[in-house]
Amino acid sequence: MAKYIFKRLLGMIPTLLIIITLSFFIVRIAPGGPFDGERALPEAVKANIEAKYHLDEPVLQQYGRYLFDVVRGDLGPSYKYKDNDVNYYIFTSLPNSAVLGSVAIVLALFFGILFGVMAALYQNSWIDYLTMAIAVIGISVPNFVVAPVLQLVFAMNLGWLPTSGWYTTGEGYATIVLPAISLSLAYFATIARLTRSSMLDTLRSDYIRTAKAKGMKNSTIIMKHAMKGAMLPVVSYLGPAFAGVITGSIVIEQVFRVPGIGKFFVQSSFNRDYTLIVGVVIVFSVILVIMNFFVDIVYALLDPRIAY
Amino acid sequence: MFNKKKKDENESGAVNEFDQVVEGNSLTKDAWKRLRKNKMAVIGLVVVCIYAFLSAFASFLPLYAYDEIVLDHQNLPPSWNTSAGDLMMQDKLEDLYFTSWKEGRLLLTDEQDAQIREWIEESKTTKVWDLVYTEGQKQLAAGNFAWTASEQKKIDKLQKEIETELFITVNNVKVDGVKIEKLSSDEVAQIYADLLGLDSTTAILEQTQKEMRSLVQNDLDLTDDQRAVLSEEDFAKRVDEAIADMGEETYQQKVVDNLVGKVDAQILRNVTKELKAQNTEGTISFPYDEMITVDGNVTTEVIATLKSNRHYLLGTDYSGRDLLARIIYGGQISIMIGLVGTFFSVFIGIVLGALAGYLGGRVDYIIMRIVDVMYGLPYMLIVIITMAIFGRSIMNLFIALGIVSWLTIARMVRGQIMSLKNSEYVEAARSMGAKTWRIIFKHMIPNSLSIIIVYSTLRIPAFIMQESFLSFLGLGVQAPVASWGSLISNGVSSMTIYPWRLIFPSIAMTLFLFAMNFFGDGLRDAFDPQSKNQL
Repeated sequence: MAKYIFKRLLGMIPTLLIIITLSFFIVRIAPGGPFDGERALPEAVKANIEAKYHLDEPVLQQYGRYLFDVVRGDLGPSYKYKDNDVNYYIFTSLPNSAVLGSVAIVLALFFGILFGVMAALYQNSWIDYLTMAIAVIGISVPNFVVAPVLQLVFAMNLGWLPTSGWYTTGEGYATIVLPAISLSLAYFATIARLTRSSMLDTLRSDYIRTAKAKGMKNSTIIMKHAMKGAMLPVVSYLGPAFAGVITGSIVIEQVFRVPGIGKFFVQSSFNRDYTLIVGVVIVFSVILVIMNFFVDIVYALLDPRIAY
Repeated sequence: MFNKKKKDENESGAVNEFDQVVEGNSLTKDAWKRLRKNKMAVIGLVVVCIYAFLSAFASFLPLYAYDEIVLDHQNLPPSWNTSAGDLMMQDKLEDLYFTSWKEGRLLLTDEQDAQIREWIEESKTTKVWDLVYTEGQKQLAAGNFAWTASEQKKIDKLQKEIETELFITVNNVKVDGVKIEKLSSDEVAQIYADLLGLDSTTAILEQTQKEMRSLVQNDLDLTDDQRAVLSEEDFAKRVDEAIADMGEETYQQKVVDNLVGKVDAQILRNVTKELKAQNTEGTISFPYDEMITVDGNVTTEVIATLKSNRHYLLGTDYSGRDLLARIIYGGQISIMIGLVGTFFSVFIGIVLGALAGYLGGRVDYIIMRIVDVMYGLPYMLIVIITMAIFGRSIMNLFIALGIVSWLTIARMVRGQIMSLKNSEYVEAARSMGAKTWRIIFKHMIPNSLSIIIVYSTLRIPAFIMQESFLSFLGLGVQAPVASWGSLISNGVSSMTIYPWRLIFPSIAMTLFLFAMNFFGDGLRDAFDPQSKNQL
């Protein structure tokens, strides 16, 4: 097991390196630099600014310098926002996004598994049909439609929940509910469908029949035996789900005015704020890669057939 | 689909040992039978067909142009039978009633006053408008309320506008039955001079030359810095060169186009004056569509409608464009992006997957490692960066989405090819000396086509969603072109006051995605019954 973990840890390095390299060079071959404003700067001023940010060096040297800084945990200065560096902007907004994303994932997992298992146990009952109906809606309706519609219905017309805002600015924890639900719906849908189908498969398998023949209690069979096997597809879906939550949160944050990292990402893309774009991508990728790592470990622990 | 041979046998009447006609069966036929039994999939297919039909024939439908801006008709609500003019008047009256209520001239009951204050508090303005409007109309009819002189003036002015403002287009300007674009520049200049009442064409031609030169000068391939240092003479020289490069014919055609534009504009001015006069006299009825003679031998087709007669079934957007037309044209763009993008990504996926699966070894290893690493990337972020940086054109969108979405199809095709690699017919083809690419593209890919088609069907809604996601962020297609995503994004910004701008595009898009998903799921279940209940 330790060897497996070590191997997976090593495998993370090339992925991260590729991400950094790719985003670093994409933003640099782009036409138009960050200082191409509406007004042309005098040559001398431009040269000074470029020297300050080391933009006058050969690209490879810039790349090397950047890699070295990233390894030390420094994402560099922002080209657009002069007050603070990239680290400051990312790490003040990241916690908000992290809270939103985690709540959404937990909601999706909890209700997805609950509804999926219920649907499988009571196949062709009303709960099965209800789950599948919500699942189809969740998969077909994009989150940028779900979010404003929920906002319109539950916040504006019924007035049950706040329209927008975030708890850090003193608007109460109820502000989390709507964004988290909008973000989690698609993943709830997929998890419920996955759980249902794999649960149905597992319940028909031989080892469950054996357990039944041994006279075990039904609840023990489901909780102890069936669940473990049925969770495998769900666990392997978690990787893509994390990636989806990360990108999805960009839209959700925009609709609900959550002071998260998504805003910086879109804005800095428009501003050509190289360091901030690459910084956000690196942070997102690190989170994603770590999540995928844990997903793999959990999968290996759950599935005795996997050899490591 | 791939069983032509069996069909031939059928036609020649193949029989089994009991002399019964043998019905040829194929996977496709079987799958089709299963698909037809799946009610939701069939409904999905029908809906998809309706959408496809609407977007394919959008330009033949009686729709307003999707990019036609009518500034007076901003944010009009959807309505089946009320014309734009009436809606404009209603808007105005609502506004005026509300002001008079605030000034205490429109008296309502205490309960209504309290209700309105509460609504204002909750920013439910639409409800307030409705209430003051109905109450105001009632009181006005009963004679309990009267407009002040200045309000009455405003209302009369709007009424006059509604009755007189025309929407005129001039098409097909012809001279003696010949299209004006086909004439030489001198002839067109002469027509223009006649229209203006000038004696000679010299001034016109000189003016046109000047305009053409400045146009060419703006198009010169120079940076701003270079432009700043060039002198007049330098510019003149470069412009001369550019014109010489263009060739005499092209240049003359451009001059003619420029002049034709002027003639069109002048005719439009004259016609507008004429029609307005006729409208005031009441000697014209709308819609007006006739060939008229402008000046001697110049004829043109004039289409005129009363602006306020327009009907917007689904309302209008922030610049007075018809939402119905925008949703249909937006759907055209979205569906096209879904189809072309899927085709593009499936193509890359097939080629790479087939190569990896067939060649195996090092090629396989490298391609599959690339796939693995790319799976770990937050690829939408890469797409967002690419779009933000390389410009927001539809072409870039295809490329950006296509490059990151070939992974799954490549894996699938690879698996399929690997399992087919050792089958007898491939062996046979190889022993007869068929080349690798021929075996792959002639034998193996057609045999994996059914799973590829099924996968592609499920890919289209995903592609449409991704495109809409980018458009929602402002990184997709740019106005005046619309896609569902950009329409929804525009709708969100004003959903409390003008909810129809959010609701209709959302419904249009969701319905299509529903249909597409049901159809795709049904197709997959039909082709592979074992996959039922799986994702």
